[in-house]
Amino acid sequence: MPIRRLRDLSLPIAAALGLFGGLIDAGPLGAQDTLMTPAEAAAADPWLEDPVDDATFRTFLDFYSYDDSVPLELRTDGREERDGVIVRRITYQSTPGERVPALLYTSAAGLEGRPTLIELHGATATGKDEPSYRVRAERLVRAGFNVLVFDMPLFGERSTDRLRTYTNLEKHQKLYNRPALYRDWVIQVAIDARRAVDLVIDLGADPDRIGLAGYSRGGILAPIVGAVEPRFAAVAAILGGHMDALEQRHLAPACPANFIGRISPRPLLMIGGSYDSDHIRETSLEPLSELAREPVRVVWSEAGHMLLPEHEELMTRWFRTQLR
Amino acid sequence: MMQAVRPRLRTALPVMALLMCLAGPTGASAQEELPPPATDEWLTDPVDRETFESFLQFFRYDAELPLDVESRGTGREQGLTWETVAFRSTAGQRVVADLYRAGGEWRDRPSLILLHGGSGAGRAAPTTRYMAGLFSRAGFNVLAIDMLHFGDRDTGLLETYSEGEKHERLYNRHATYLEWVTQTVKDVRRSVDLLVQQFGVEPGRVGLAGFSRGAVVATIVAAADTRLAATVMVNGGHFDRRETGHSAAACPANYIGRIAPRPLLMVNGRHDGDMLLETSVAPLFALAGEPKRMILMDTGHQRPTPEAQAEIIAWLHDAIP
Repeated sequence: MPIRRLRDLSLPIAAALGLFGGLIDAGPLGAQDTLMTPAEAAAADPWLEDPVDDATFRTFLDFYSYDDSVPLELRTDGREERDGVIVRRITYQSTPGERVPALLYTSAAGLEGRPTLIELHGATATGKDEPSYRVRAERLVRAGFNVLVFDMPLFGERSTDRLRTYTNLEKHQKLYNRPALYRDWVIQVAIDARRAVDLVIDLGADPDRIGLAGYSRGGILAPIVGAVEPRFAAVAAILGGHMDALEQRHLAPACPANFIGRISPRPLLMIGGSYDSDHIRETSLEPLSELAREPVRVVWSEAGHMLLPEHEELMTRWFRTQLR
Repeated sequence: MMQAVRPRLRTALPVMALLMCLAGPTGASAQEELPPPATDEWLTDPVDRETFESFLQFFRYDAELPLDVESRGTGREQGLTWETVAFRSTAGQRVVADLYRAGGEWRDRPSLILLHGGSGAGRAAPTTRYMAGLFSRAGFNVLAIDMLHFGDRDTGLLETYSEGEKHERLYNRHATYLEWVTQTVKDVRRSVDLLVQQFGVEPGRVGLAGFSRGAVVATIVAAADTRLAATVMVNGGHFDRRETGHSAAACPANYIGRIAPRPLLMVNGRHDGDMLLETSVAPLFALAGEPKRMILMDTGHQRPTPEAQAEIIAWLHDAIP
């Protein structure tokens, strides 16, 4: 039986969690709660079937807004060149007092005349500095793009003592399955991304040729960020989805299902792995993709939770077309 | 002679400080030209229930975060004593507060959470201390918290705390103000947790009182947290004289009608030059549901008159027996 048919991959997961039951803080879910399988968690989320209406969505936008008069206060902390790719280590102010570390990849000619991608990284402890992201960003620059990837709160240079081990269990216990905390985190990521748009425009990027690419956890966030920031001309959610296999619930303002349909008429690309045991095709990606509106392209790879080279190339070509 | 002067000085200093503090809200100079008083669509037509409920999604907080209460010593002034405490509200946010104990066991007395006005001193502003003393002497436990950017929670966003600066950097910045309101709501909700969980206060006997800016925000807080048994707004309103606009989710008009059936008391000055009766206070009061009451004083934007104080206390004892 193909692995992807194992809708209840949840069973081994739940069993594994049972083994580590002592590590799990049942508090956030309520002491009486039992762990839901991914299928049950998806079924329990009303928005995957019926997203919020336009009036409610508009109320969300107020909370995702930011004060554009707050100075960006760009600081460059380092610059290096690798085979024609300039990498600047920068920080900028997102909201009052909140500085965001980022890496800005450009050609030697600067940002002008090229499309720009803002990237949302996956949930690795190293955040933007994850080697695979650096390699991909350099490839994208050579393919004609500027790339800015920033550390999301709690990751990379923005780590705090909230996450220490960055195990999957810890991230769910202390962030993803804490609905109020997670909502605040998602909002801050979205505002950080919106401020990144301000920044690259200030630095000379073409405001009509800015795209958003999110990977894994960043792929889950990409529909939200893409929906609240209309300056993203194209959005790619790579290995994203509605929830990962260990997520139990979230609040409406942090549910991708309430946002993905609002990216249209801007184009959306979704790439998922048919054998992804974490961002499960049947329970997470497919139901979410059904809520997307045209123009949308959904691509499945015969792989797990990884971006195959051919799909990275596909994404690059897609962005090149959309951000012409 | 010296003995006669010293007590006078001791009395005069707080009074002077109080006058200086009050000068802000009412103190628009005669030459200063202000635009016509602002209004908005929600003051005549508040958002519907569905929209209100979507706002509530943003006021939820993580109750499992440890409060991590820390004592920061005690204070004493004019016969009033308090303990300063700090506790965690949300991730990365600690609230500093003064706790005035009414006497006896915590759970034997009703409690009030007190929100200060827009003074840079926050909870330590003379008017806030005065109100805390008033409530405490009347038999209420009082928790006076610093709101974000004020008092010991200074972040650098505000430097001079002049009216112009507060409006330019906070009150008239829609996104920043909404974030601040949202944080204040969560801070008060965590304050209720603190009183109940840490001090054993009876859950149904916690009320909310706000002065000036604190009263404006109290409207929102009270609607968002149904555990608050009663609300007193002193010198609050919809907009102050310098506000030019806010987002729907930060508009008191979208909340005040949702406080009922819990009781609401508004105390205002007829001659308040900051919270104008006709354009700010009365229209907001009209949106409140029953039971509600308004005490109008023949004053400006200042602390309640002795008569009003007595009425407030009597009302509170009825509202939170």
